[in-house]
Amino acid sequence: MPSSESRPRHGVWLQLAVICAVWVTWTLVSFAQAKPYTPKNGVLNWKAILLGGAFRVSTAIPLHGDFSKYARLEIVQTESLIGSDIPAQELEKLTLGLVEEFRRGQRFSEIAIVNTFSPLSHPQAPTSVPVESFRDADPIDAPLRTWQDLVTFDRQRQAAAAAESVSNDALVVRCQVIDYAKGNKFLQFLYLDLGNSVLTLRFSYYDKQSGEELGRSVISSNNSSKVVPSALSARSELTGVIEGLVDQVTRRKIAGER
Amino acid sequence: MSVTIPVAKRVVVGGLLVCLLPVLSGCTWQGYVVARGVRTATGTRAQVHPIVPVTSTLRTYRVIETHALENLVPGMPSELEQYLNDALAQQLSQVESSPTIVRSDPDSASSDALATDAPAVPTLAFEGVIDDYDPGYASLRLVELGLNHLVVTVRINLHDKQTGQTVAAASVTVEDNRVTATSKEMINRLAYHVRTFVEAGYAK
Repeated sequence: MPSSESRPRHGVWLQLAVICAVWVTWTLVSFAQAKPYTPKNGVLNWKAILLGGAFRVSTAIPLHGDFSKYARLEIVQTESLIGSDIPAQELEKLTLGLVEEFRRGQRFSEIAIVNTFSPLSHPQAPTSVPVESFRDADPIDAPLRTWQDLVTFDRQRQAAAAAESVSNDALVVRCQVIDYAKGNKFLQFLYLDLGNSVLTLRFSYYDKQSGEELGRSVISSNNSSKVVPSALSARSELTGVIEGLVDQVTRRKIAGER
Repeated sequence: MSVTIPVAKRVVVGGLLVCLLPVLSGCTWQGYVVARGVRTATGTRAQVHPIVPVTSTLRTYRVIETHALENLVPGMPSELEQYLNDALAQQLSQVESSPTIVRSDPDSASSDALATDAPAVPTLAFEGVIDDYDPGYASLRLVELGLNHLVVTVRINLHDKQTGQTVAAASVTVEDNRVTATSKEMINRLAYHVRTFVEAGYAK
């Protein structure tokens, strides 16, 4: 009798163990999979209503080109187009915030801050390619190449293939402040939309190699919230702008990858 | 039987109630009407950022030559762009010391003639760019949710036409959160603030 009683109990433990194993495996697999990116609605979302930091994006030049080829991102130090009305610390905080948020997104293998970028100093690649290149087709009546030429061309071909496999294309983002209001923390407690902090930036996106402008947008944010007082909220106008820019670039990068 | 509440807990609960008070007051319709009334009265914001402040008087300039603003926001309708340029010219013509306003728009031939006729007169060239324009969302303004406001930002530059030296520059932003907000009204307000900035130079 005791042996017949212990048999079903064994079965229950076995079933539980199998369920646990399946659950653990399923959890690990789902964690291992990359979380699909959800584009953000900056104008109206619950997070912004509760905590503030809503953002809007106005497109001046629609983003174009394949953003998926960029492994490196260069963020130009934020500059002010409104003179000294925005503190330098605020500009620094914004630049560092952008870098941190892009690092968190893990869409770029390398992220750097550069002091300046002038698209004019990065002209288009020269149209006249060197004559002695493996890419040039010889005229039909040209004499046969020497063995040395063929060896040289082979080396060029290998070097080009190696360069293509390691993408060194860089995306440059230039940030310019076009409006800023510091706000008033006391007035923000009144829930009357008074004394809100506001930050508006123009972002330009460039291909570093060609200097081509790949898009331009204006992103604006404020810290107005409906529930948590703006002065106490973890989200601010800075958070909104950063989120807006990262969202724009990430959307384009994912579209390129697809 | 009395229940004693720890002091720290009382402080936390009290603080939370103070924070929630404005929210709860909004739940009654009277509170909401008052709050909405205040928000309607204070729903516009104008921000003037002097980039190059006016340091010397502009009274020597008897002519202001206005150029159409360069539009960096293609989303702005062309009729509004024209309206903005017209409003700026109109407001500048109301500057107290009454300088002559000459519009050097490519469309108006008569103004070009005026501009070439008076090269010897000290002339202040008025140029700039439209940095930002967004019409917002009227429906969201009605329910007071989201980032819904109308906004326009221009950056102006005043320079001596003869020497090319910049004498003043500023960035002006006007935004409107009210449900009654219109683009033209906002542009009028922006033009008024530009005039105030220029007028300060003539008042020196």
